[in-house]
Amino acid sequence: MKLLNVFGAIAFASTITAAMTTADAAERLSAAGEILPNAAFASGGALEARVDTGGDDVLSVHAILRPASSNITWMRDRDGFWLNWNGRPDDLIESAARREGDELVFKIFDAPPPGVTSMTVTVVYRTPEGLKYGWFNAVERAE
Amino acid sequence: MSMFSSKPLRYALGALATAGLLAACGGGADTGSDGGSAETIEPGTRFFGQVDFPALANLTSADVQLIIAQAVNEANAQGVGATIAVTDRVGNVLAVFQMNNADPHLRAVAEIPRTINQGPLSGTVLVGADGSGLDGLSIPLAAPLGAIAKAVTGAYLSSSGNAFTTRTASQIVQENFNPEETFQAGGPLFGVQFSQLACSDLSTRFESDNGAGTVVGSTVGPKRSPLGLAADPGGLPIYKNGVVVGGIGVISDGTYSLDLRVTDIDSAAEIQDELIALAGITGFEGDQSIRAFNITVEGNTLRYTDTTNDRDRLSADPATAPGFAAILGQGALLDVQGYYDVTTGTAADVLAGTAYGDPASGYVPATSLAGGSPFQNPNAFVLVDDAGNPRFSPKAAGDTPGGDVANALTQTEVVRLIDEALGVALAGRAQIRRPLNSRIQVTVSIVDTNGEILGVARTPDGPIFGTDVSLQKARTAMFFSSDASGTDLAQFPEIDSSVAFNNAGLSLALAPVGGLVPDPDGGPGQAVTLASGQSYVDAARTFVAPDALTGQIAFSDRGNGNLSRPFFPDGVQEQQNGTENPNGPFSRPFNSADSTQNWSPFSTGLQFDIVGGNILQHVLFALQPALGLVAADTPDTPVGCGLFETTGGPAPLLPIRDALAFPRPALANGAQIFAGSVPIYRNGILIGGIGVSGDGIDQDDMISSLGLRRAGLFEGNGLGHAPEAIRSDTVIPVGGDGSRLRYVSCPFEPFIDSDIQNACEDL
Repeated sequence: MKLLNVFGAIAFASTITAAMTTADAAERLSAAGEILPNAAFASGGALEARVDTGGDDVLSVHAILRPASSNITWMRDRDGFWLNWNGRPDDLIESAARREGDELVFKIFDAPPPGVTSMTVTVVYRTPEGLKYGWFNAVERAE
Repeated sequence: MSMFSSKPLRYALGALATAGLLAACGGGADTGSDGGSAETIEPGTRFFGQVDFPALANLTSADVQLIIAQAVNEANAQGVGATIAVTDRVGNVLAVFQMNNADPHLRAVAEIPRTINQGPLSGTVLVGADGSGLDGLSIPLAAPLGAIAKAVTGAYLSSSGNAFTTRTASQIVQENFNPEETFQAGGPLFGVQFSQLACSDLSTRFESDNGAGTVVGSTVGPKRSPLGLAADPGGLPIYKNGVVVGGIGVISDGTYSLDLRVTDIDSAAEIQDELIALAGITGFEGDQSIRAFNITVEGNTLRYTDTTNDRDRLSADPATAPGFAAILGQGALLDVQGYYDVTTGTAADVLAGTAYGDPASGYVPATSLAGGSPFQNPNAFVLVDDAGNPRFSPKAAGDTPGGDVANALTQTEVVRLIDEALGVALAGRAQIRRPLNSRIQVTVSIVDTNGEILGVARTPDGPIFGTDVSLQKARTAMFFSSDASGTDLAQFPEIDSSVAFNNAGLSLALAPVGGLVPDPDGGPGQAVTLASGQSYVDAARTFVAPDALTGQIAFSDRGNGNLSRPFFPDGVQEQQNGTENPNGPFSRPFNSADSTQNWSPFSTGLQFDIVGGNILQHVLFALQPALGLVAADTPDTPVGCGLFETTGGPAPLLPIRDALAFPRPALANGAQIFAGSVPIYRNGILIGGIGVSGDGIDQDDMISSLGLRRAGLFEGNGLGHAPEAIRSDTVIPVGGDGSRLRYVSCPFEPFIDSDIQNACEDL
């Protein structure tokens, strides 16, 4: 079931850039999971996450979002829709990220899911050896 | 389970005969309820009819102003200053008012010592030893935090069927029940003070700057409490037309303590907080019939206040209180970071409360959900977010217990577990509610082996505190039964708070108030030492069995609680020959030569040590503006107890079992150490935990254990209890006196419409 289309109509690139928050750069992921620095995004703004692959052979990328104070877990598809995730790694569907050298920039959202202002985001990529991942808390910035 | 059981016993077989006599598992009798199949559930032991929901009611801003004015009027008459907080039923802070002459500090959290003056423990100082846990801590400018915790406690412990106060709380959390009655088991809610914690992943937050909780402006509860639940008299529930709508908390004496002696009547100096609070809620009291005075537990009458009626010790007539505008000159509304914002300083900042049951409160009937209720039981209430969406809808487990994902709990099973537990509860006779023969009201939580919340639901009028506590209980039963519990705990390091806080770039500002001030550069401060997890693992393996905490024992919270008391067996200070009994391995000692290590309700042992850092970190966050600390150096505690916030982000002190699916420790809202939960198994494999909280502990035990039993019967796929051979009631700790641990203890003749004596015989 498609829950949300956070991309919807694509905004102008300049607008995205102006409102976008990117989690701290060049963090490395690991098979055991890494805690990444917290992030804040502008009200209604976008969120990305940048990670350093360290030369890993990345087969696929995935993003998971858990609204704070809930047991809901969503996974992001390539188009920015959030779908229910059952918690099992094998059932994760592919999301989207762009490559910048050895770094991956995960698209999380252009605008947060309605009513979600505080969340945990997990970014994942798959290598031939298995999954590597990390997570961070993200919150709407007080204006 | 039967008394004088012939079950196989382990670990101290030489003590078998003694154990048989001392085990005293409750509920031993002769009549089963299930007969071994779903079809034979006895009539009257499962209720799926309809009960009344609480009426929607809330405090208005004018109500809150009146309550504060009446409290200030009494404080003035007593010649003291006070800090007064008012919350709604789900913990939203509606106002914090501090009088100009109020003591703004919290001095020595448990400074009132009590000394045993007879027997082998003669000379033991019970509380106030200073050094471990929160004992003896003096926190500058923290009076508002104490007042909020007291108000939250009054609101959270109460319902339309019971009005409990912080004095009631004090009575039920100490080493004996009643306190000072030696050889009586510990308080029935032993450990509840460390619930509703700032690090809870269930409790919501008024505001946050670290990506956690609910953001500014949301009224969704249940909100956390800055210091957990309070036992310091002066926190009372607030009612309108028989419906609990909030709580008031008062600090005027600068001491955040507890009532160590319930058999006396406190002096005027000791009772001033309570009298001010009583004056404040004049016109907003719960009915006499539901006050703690009229409720008995284990043969003891509970305490509501130390007055014989509402007004017999007041110094002023509340009717003479001036209007709110008039008292603004005598004090001010007080900004408290994370809890309450003051923008104008006028009555406009005094907020109205939410109405429990309205989506704004965070609690609604499940039948009102957009997609309909997931439960068969029509009485289920659930938690919702700002948008009215359910927060903890039943879902399947994502974990892979035992390496076999096929064993994980399914969504259908989670729904069944909750439905059956609610069905047992509402068929049962409440222990703590009036009138007699009221139905039990509780919250039920289900978790998987990572601690992930698979579902939370409740009966319509369960006390709010049970929401967080039921989850704590479910997680605790699962955690201590798991094969990873020992290795998880072993990774928790010993922490000296001054070192830990400075290493994290934080200011250790918890300096004694008298003459010392907060020193951001690490000057004189108070050490709060948290014992390492390894020390508890070692103690458990010495005291219980060498293979303790490796998944070989299924621990209910009752069994775990046996090991978390300052005496083993629970409440028994000494043996017949006068030998002092040891503390349980998860408890602080009661009478250590180093008195700074001793147990108190503010320093329970493992339970406190795994959340103490979170509590202290949150205190610094809440006081950061008032103390002039650097905001970047005092981030709020992360969501998830056992995580610790550093300047580089959260760091796990307890390991995270499956970070991809559930990125926080398995005890993410802390541990709970009183009864009401059991681990869930399928064909002998641990797959989760079920926790229940809100009524008496025997009732909570019955609901969790019978709910699981019946869900398993209905599902018919191996879902159920741990095999009898590994339950904690088969274990005689090698370091004890031959007494067995317990598993569950159910009340006798527990149902309103059935005469069944032992509902838990066939677990």
